Amino acid sequence: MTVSALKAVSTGRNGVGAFILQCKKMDIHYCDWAGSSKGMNGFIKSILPKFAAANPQIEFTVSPRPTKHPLLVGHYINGGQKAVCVRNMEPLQILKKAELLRDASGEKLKKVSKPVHSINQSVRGVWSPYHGNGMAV
Amino acid sequence: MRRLPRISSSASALAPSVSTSSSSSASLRTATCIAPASQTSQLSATRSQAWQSKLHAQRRCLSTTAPRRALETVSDTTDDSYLLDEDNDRTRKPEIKTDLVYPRGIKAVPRDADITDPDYKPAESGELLEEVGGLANWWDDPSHWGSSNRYLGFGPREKVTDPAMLEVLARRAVIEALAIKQFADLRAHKLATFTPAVAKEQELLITEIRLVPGEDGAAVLKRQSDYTRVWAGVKKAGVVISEESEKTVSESSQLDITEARELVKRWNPRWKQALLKDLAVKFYAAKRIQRLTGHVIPDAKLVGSISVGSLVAHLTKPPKAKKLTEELEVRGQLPALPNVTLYPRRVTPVDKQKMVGRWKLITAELEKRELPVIGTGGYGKSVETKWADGN
Repeated sequence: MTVSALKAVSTGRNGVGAFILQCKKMDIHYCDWAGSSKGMNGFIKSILPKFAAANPQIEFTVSPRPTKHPLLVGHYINGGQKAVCVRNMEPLQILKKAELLRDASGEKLKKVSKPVHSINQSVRGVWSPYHGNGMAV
Repeated sequence: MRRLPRISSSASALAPSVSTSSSSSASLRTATCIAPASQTSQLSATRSQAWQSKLHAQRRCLSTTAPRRALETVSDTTDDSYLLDEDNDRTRKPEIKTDLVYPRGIKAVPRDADITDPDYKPAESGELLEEVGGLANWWDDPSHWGSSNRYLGFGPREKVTDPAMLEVLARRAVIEALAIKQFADLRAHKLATFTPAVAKEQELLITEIRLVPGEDGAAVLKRQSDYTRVWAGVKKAGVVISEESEKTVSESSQLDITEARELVKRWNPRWKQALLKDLAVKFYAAKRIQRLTGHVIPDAKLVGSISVGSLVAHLTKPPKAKKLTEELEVRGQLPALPNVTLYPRRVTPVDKQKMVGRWKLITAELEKRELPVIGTGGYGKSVETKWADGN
């Protein structure tokens, strides 16, 4: 019986090897009657076919929400949701919002104090006062 | 909306209250003018008596209600003699020619003094008395309005929607308009607007007539004799309708859709290039189109329609979609994508549960606990919430 080595559990490194889009679904709500949905109706008619065809990994659902402002809701693989009200916006402005939702991670918004973040361990290891030769003061 | 009957002056006797009120105002003026004159003038005794009796009659008319007649217990006669004043001569009864159904044979309740039943006891309050009869809602009943008052639309009841049929009828309208213009007189205007569909033979005859652009591009009929043939048919239909007093309005067209499609295929499409230069022809054509198809062409579109083809294009253009989903279905680009789902109505929370197959389980569990499946079942919010809020 051969001895097999323990397999290391792989950690997710999205983008290394393959990239998985975090946004899995996008709900698009509009109103047939309200004037604030005018831009949204134009977006659905003219821009959405191209946008949906360019992003086949996202599921799009288009449904009316009568007498309410138009809305874009992104659903993410971490279970999060992000909703953007796009009332009175032009179709191209709505496209910007759709791209924002598509590119979002689904995480809660938080302040980024350190712009560079890595999950790789440091090559130098964790500093310890009990190891090493010490430093002459 | 409440409808008011159009009653001719001869039928004014039908409305006793109206006639009385008008006569009362007249008699009021008469009475005020005559009264001082009668006091100051040196009239003979017999003459003053006559004035007194006349004044009495006029003063009686000052009341806004009709003079009360001796009520009959049951008047089941169908004549309307009760509507006339007693003073009027019965030979002067006006001839009422109307198909309105007005109240006849009114039964009046006998007065207390006329009741011979010993068990009769007059009511002391009106609370428990049954309300019987009354003419307040008489004209709300459609059967009381005669056939002459029935609404007859100008065009057909339903608009023609088939493009081929619309094309056939538009061509026919232009041909008839050209013929009407050729023989234009006052009668032609009426015929242009009110003549309904002609017989099928005539319709087929009109479809065989060739509509072509003339030397200046304006629409003309190929042969001069065609004008007479079309005019004869239109005139005939117009005579028929005037004799029947528009009681029977036939269908807009005798042709069926398959025949219309065959005709459209058979015709040389050059007829659509014919121009509508004459405004009268264009107006007649628009009126005929409205009569035949039920489509009203707006003035702005009519001015813009310079050729027969543009008129046909306006008619056959599909109506604008009322819902966005309808328009998307027509366009077909978005529904064809595999990652896009379109919903024609709002996606409710129940729909979301059904999509994942959870709704049956939820329903079963709620029913098992005798809880309402949808809604709150008459239960409001919890009282404790109100307490916690400090209200």
